Amino acid sequence: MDRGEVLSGAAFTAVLRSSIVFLFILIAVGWAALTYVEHTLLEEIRNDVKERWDILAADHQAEGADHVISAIQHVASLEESGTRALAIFDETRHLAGNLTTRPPGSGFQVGTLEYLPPPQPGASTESIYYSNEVDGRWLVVGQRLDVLKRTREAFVRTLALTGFIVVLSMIAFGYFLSRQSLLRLREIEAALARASEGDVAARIPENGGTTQIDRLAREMNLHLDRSSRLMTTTRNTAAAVAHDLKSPLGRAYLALGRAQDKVEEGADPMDALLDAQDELERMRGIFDTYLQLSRIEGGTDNATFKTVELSALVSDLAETYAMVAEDAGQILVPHLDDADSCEIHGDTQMLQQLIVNLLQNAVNYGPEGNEICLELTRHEDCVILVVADKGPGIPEADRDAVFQPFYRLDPSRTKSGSGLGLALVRVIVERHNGSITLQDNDPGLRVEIAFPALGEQHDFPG
Amino acid sequence: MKILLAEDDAKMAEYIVAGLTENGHSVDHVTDGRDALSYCLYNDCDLAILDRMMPGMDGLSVLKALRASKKDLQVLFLTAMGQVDDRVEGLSAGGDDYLTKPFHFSELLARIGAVTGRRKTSGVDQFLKVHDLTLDLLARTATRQGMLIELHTKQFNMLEILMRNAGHVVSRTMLLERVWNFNFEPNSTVVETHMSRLRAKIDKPFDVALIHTIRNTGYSLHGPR
Repeated sequence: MDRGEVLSGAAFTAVLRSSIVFLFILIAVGWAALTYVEHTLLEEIRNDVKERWDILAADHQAEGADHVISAIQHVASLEESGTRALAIFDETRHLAGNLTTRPPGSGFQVGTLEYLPPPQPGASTESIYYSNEVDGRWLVVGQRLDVLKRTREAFVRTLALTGFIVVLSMIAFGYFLSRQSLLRLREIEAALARASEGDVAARIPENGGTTQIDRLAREMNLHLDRSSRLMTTTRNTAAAVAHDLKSPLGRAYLALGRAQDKVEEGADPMDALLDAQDELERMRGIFDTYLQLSRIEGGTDNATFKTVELSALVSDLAETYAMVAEDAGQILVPHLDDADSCEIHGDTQMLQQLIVNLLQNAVNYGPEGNEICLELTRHEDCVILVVADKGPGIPEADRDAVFQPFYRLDPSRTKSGSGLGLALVRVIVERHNGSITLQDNDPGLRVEIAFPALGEQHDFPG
Repeated sequence: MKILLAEDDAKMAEYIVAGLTENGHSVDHVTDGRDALSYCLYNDCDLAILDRMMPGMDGLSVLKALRASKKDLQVLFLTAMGQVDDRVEGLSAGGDDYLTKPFHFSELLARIGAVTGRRKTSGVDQFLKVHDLTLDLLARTATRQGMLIELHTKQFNMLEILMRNAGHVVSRTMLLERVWNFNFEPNSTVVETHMSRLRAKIDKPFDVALIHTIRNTGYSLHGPR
């Protein structure tokens, strides 16, 4: 994997940015904390220095200069490290203590003191001291700021180390994340490349994750599902169109040939010509239905949709088809729910065609004596339309496939029909946001369609 | 009758012109939408047959321009654009009828007859009469040779259309459109079923059959010729 691609990944750049922000914050907070600590420390040292000066000054006043000088000499000899300054001077001379010269000024000062012996290299050059006159002598008490220097150094070292470790691990983690997402993106890329080359089974492997990329992958898979379904349908359709249109075309050719023969014989070619016309008519029907199917399927414009009272539509068609069923030796029994409003939002023409297709299928595939049941009932929030027959039904395994255009249960295609009836029913139901299920009617087929209902359901009949 | 045909497919136009001329109409043919519009505006003609997709100007715009100029001639669309919305568009723009390609020539003739006949008979006649059959449009009953015949709504509607176009062919598609309001091919025997019942009532009990089947096309109602 190319490192450049990992480093340019979104996860890595995000981590890099946040680590820069982190460093800034670390420096700012560190500086503030250090200032505070230094300030507190200095305050304490100051108090300590002043206390010691006060004791010595009090001694000087009570016991006299000699006592103080000997005490200073005694203490100075104990001060091995030499961080504390303690000295007494008269107007011109050094009387006792570990300072060679009297620092100028009086009161609290911060500055360089000349120690005896001189301090170790690496010690702080700064001291805080209090110098003032007591009975004609100058008493100086100080403290070298080694603690402050060490504190400052330790503080900076700790902060630098923390910053370094945190930033390093953030960058490592960012690299890892970026690598992970790059791997995932590679998977997606590969799957899409395969899909675009025509592999209908290509899918992005799903790991059940919840990251944005995983969600995107799932969405893409859904899209691939849909488009592969469409592609399969289109392929099947192309084959089926070729088959279904070739047969009537072939028969029309034959009929025209027969007509030609008749003309040559001097006989009347009318019958043969009408046969040819009949076949062309059938082809036209298939074309029209197929165009309509793709139009409804691809359409999103619901300008023709309005409130449709399904019960009026259904009872009108029931009346019409009762006679068609009767002619086929069958019987159509409507059960209409008159009490309730069965209004839905829809397109009258499409709904009409939907019901006609279902009724016609029931008549076409039902045996003599077939009882076709047409039911319309209002439920809580939907209107349910049922068309049930006592025909051969549809085996469970085929119940999804029959909604595909040109699918026929009977592969020899002996029954007339375009094989588009149920496909059209499905797209019309989908356009109306309804659902369709095929069930066993023991024997026969029971088609149940639910449409979202408009308006309120009456609770009482009438 | 004077007819203008606007059609850019030369072969199709040739067939239509020949067919209409044979049937006693006088036909002029243009291939461009703009020509069709100027022809209709400056010439007297009874009917324009417009294709929808034409060079120059589409049929729908031609019709709209004609209606806007208050030109009162009948317009029949003859087009491959056969979807319901297309039809609705064509008819609501003021078209008198809408026929989709491919079509039977007899259907075109029937529709021309119906369109031009409709204007003539759209009066307030209460009765339609063909041979010995009378249809009472108000009582919605039929009488033949003095016998009252009860008809269902659909049967009555079918008979009314046949009688208004007496002597002309009424196609199966026209019946589906006007009686059932089906703008699609139901792949069904609806028309045949209802026609056979209508025949059983108005033809079967009598010597002379008035309803004649035109194979592959439709039906025609006329007295003995």
